[in-house]
Amino acid sequence: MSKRLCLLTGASGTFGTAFIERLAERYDIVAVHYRHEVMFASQDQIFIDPLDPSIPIGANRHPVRTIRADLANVAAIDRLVEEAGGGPVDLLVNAAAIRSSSPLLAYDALQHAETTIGVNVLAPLRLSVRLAQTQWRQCPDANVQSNRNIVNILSTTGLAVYEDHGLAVHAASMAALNHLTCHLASEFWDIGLRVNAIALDPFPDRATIDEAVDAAADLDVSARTGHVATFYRRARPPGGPQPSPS
Amino acid sequence: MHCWGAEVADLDDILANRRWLRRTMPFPHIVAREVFRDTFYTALANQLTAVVERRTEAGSRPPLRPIPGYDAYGGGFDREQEGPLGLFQTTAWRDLLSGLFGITPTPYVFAGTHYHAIGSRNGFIHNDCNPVWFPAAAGLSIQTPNYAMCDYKTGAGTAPGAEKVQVVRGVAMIFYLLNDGWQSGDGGETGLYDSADADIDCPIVRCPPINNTLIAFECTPRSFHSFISNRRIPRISIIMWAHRPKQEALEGFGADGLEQWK
Repeated sequence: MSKRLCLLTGASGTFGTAFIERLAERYDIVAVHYRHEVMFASQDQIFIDPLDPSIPIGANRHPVRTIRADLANVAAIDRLVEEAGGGPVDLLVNAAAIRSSSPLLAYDALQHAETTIGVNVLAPLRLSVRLAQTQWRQCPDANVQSNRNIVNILSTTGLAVYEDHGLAVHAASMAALNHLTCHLASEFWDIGLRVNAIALDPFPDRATIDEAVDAAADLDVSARTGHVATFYRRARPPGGPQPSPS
Repeated sequence: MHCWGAEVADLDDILANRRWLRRTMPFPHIVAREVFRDTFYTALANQLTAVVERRTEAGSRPPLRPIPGYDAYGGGFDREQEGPLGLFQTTAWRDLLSGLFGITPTPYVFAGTHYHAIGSRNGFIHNDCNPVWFPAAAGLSIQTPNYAMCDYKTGAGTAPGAEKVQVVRGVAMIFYLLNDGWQSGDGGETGLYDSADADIDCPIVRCPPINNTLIAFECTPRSFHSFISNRRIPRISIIMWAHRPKQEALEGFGADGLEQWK
């Protein structure tokens, strides 16, 4: 049985890395990265044992296909959709995000604002719409049959206010992505495509990330749409931020 | 209590991760995370901290000195380096690195430290494919530079000419440590490039200076790399070169392929 095709952005980030680690066996993953490399076997890299490079390594059994793309660049998103190839995407995971942090009264408060909005909001929107235009819109029945869907990875900064951490722009972008998830779910329903989101604690521990990855996989096989699942770390760091209801 | 001498014979005892990534782009290199077991990494970090912080005694050379033409401080390890840092001057480690890239091992090894203070400027794109000098060694046991007898770059020194040997850097290794709290956006990465004329801020690959991470590559005319400016925390690394016979480098790259010191 062939594996589902998953297009994963933010593949070298914390969530993306955990996603590949836990789910490379289940999906054919197109791993989209930009600034840093993906640390898994791919078309350009394999694991070796430094003490015996000739012996087979299990971690090479499920290589990902990596594509470097600057998601702040509109043309790069078009190229990405072309390069992803390999048939219609079954699962799009929008996990790329810029986590900029700057107090609004700082002299360079808005230095990264446009890029943050561009990567965190417009890129997942453009990628979703572009895939809908080029792949999904033509085959609603196949989308339903293959249970195709989108999972947006956002942060709980988009659901509650974390005071005094310089997260205003980042939080605004996450709130926008949260809202966008619901609108995408509503409109893509017409072409048989589900859209959900996972909101992660902005200071997650490993267990929380693993739970969120498993939740993404669960959403993929579910029938849900328009749902936002939240994952807060259980033990908050001493003196760490406490969310206030927005 | 652990006590690692200069001969750390069994690498299996200290390596935490035997899944190292071999990459082909932009040139062949190896990256490994969580290289050493916690106890050994901690011992390395503690010993290097002492080296970095060591006060200079009157008349002695400081452990780290400004590197001319490069916004960093550096220093080679002692010739008879004791403790865990001695690992990088063992035949076992040299053979591991030489074997990964298929170069002929020689006795000649350079190991030391690079320290980039916060805000260090970008380096420059270079390939490390340099010929260097050592006092000639018998057999394959490790020989480190001896500047009084034979300067590493020029060969000048008190040793008779027949007792000096010119070799070529064969494998370069950078091991990152003591960079606690490094985050994406902090800079301090090692950039890898496909051209000497590339934009230094736009490498093909950025190797982040995450603690207990290693990058290694064969030094060839195309192994273009550079330090990228660090903005928030110092960047600290152990650097090492295993050298190959000059004849092997000439056969592989030609005389024009060797990068002469400027």
